[in-house]
Amino acid sequence: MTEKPGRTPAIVEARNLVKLFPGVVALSGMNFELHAGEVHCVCGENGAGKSTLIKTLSGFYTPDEGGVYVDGELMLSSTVASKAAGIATIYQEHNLVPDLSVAENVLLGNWGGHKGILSRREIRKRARKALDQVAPHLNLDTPAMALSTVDGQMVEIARAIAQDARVIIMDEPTTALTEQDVEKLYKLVDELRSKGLAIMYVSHKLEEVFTLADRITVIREGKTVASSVPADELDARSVVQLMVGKDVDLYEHIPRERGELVLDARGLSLAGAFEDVNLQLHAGEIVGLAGLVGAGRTEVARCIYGADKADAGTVEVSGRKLSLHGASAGIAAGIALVPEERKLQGIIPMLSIRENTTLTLLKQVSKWGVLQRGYEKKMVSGYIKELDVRTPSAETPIQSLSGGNQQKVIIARCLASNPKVLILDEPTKGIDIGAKAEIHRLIEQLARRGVAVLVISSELPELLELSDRVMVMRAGRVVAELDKAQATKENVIAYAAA
Amino acid sequence: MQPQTATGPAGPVSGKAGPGKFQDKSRSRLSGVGDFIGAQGLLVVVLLFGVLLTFLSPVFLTTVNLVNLLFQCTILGVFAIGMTFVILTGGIDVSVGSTAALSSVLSMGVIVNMNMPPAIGLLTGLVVGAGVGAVNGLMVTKLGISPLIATLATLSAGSGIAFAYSDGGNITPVPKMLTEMVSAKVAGIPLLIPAVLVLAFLAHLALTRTTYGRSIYAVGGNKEAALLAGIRVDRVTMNAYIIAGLSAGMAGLLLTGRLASGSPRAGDGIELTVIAAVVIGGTSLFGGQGNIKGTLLGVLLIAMVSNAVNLLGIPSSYDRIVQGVVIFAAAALDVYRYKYVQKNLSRKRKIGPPPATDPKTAGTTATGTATAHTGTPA
Repeated sequence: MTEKPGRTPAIVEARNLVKLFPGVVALSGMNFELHAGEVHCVCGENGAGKSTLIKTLSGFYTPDEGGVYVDGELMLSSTVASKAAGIATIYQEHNLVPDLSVAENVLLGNWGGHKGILSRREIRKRARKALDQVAPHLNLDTPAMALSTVDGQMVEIARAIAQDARVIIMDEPTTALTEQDVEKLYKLVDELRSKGLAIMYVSHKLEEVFTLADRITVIREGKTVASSVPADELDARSVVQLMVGKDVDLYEHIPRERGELVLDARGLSLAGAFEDVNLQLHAGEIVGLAGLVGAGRTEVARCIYGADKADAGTVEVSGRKLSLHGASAGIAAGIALVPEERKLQGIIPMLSIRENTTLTLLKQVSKWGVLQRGYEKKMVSGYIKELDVRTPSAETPIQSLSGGNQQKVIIARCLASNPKVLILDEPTKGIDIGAKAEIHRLIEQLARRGVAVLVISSELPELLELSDRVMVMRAGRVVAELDKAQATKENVIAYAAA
Repeated sequence: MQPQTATGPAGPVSGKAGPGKFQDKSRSRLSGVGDFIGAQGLLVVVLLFGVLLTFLSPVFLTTVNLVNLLFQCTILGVFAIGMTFVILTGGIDVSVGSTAALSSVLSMGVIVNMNMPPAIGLLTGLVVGAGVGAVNGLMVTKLGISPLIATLATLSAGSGIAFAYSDGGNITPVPKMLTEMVSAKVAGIPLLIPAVLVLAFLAHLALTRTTYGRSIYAVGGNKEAALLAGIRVDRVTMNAYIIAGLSAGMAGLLLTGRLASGSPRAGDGIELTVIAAVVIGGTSLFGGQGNIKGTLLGVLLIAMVSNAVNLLGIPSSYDRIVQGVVIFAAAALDVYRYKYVQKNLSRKRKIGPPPATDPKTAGTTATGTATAHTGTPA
């Protein structure tokens, strides 16, 4: 750790921020300070006010009370003032222009030039200088769309450097990164810190927080609940408790009976995605599918489900061969899928919880194409109760629910079709810690009832905790099958990344 | 200090902030302005406009004018009902005007040139409409052409065929049965008005009470999710275009009856008015949102604008300017409504009052720790 902060005055300080949106109090007394040469992590659940805090610091929002102070002076609430103060923000979603080159992206909007005429040489020189400090391996002429996620992030950080930023705000920077890339990012953050930059690192992944943080601030419900605590005075458990505001029962693995073979996939291949994949699932068993992003896990799941058509191979459910034609075939055969991207592939945002739940079984809730509303309502309210979906009513649009509750509705949709095989792709991505534990328990209960479960997760601890057996994929092939005892983090990573 | 920080949060008070607390009803309730625009806004606008016209023109609130106004709505209404299905899927159909012309010309061609009985001619008109719709649907679903471009192609081709077949002229005489059907009246009220209302009601039932209707909303709301939920997205989309084509064909027949000729100019340029009516009626161009009730109100509003231009003696060329302004307002409203709904219904939730400053709560404990720390520099 660098020299203890505290004696130097803060570069950026948020004092008692209050921000109201119509009907919502986003911030209610938020304090935060950031010193040169430190990594200050901000932890909080979804909706705790992390994004609002970031947007206030970067000048997008004007706080209703309190203010942002830069070097002790009140900063105007504008993005221009924030930029002038040397604050640069790296958002979750990348802000690169895909068709422009790396060089142009590094200097985006800051091209300089003379009377609107740009000098290519000048741009390249300045971009190179900034890039050298962050990612010297990148080519200036590569179009941004050809970059990997982590390199895209590097370009954004280089942009911050090119703007002479003193403060870099990173908002959940590792969401889309693989384990290896995360290491790269760690190294970079370390270097930036030693150069004297102040880094605000927002994340709900505690592993990252404790790797990087000099100090930690925990926020909950728009308020600071632990302000600038040195990282070595906290541990993961205490941070979780601060974030959630109560004790969280963590998941515990209890062995289950393994039943008969339910799903038998043999020799599955899809050009460009995966090759010769064999996968067997037994009733009551939870199998984890591990691997780096891009190893072909999601593609395998989609092919088994029938959403995509495999080039070769067979899938049998309880001895009956599937046609693998369209998702409806998979559903009819008793396979259910909780898709990877909840927002893009799971929910129909404007429709109610009721309508979202019965989406896969419109046939069951209708007669001659006419919906039987009474029956539908009864069925849905049963699932709302069973899965403890927290909502005012079944008629609430699903998009107004929290991520965790949306996911429960998607799981309810899967359960309603009474599946023999349940495939969950990143089931807890972007979900609060509390809801996460509930979903884990739910998965466990389903397996206990005899459903064969396949879980795909990039969060290795989650995968290892849930699975009875772990299959590891690398570059489109299954490279290892590990039982509970063999499936350690080191083992899995070794196979996945070798 | 470590143990203090670590055990602090376990205090009994902190249990209060359980997730259940967030389930405040106000989360899902829109605030005043949004409610107004979202739910009854259009009805209120229509009524206010009506009151205004009553003051501006003594003729407006006469039975004759009102019946006439509703009669003007009927054909536009038939177009718009079909269009609602397509726009709900997130698509658009700009070919409805030329489909109507094609239906008009070909149906009269069958009757007049080929000496077929009128019923066969009318059936031809409907089949032509559904056929054009099917072509649109195939282009959109199987070839993946964007709806605007696909239907632009049929707009052009359809209109061309209509002109080619009729040599640019009108085909007469229209069988009496058709002209009488369009102008039939009971107790001074054209039968067409209740007929279109029945059609609208059927469409409403189809959208709200059937699996097909539910599928349309699902496809328009999130195509990918609908696909993964096992909905046959292509078939649903295809059928929406066929419905739009069918309704355009029907409208083409009605136009034929009203114009008393099979004309390649029937429905010329009406597609924009139709789309405007549907969008003004609250059906989102993004898909997945809207209903038939709104569409009917949108049609009514557009007809009132024409009616007003007529009654107030404004030169008819201004009619289109006024219509343009109304379309602009509706589109702007659509964007506003979309953003508004997104903002209010997304993850933002109501945050409870700040927790009481009980020394046992997690927050105070940890903050206290931190203050103590920063107070004693190393």
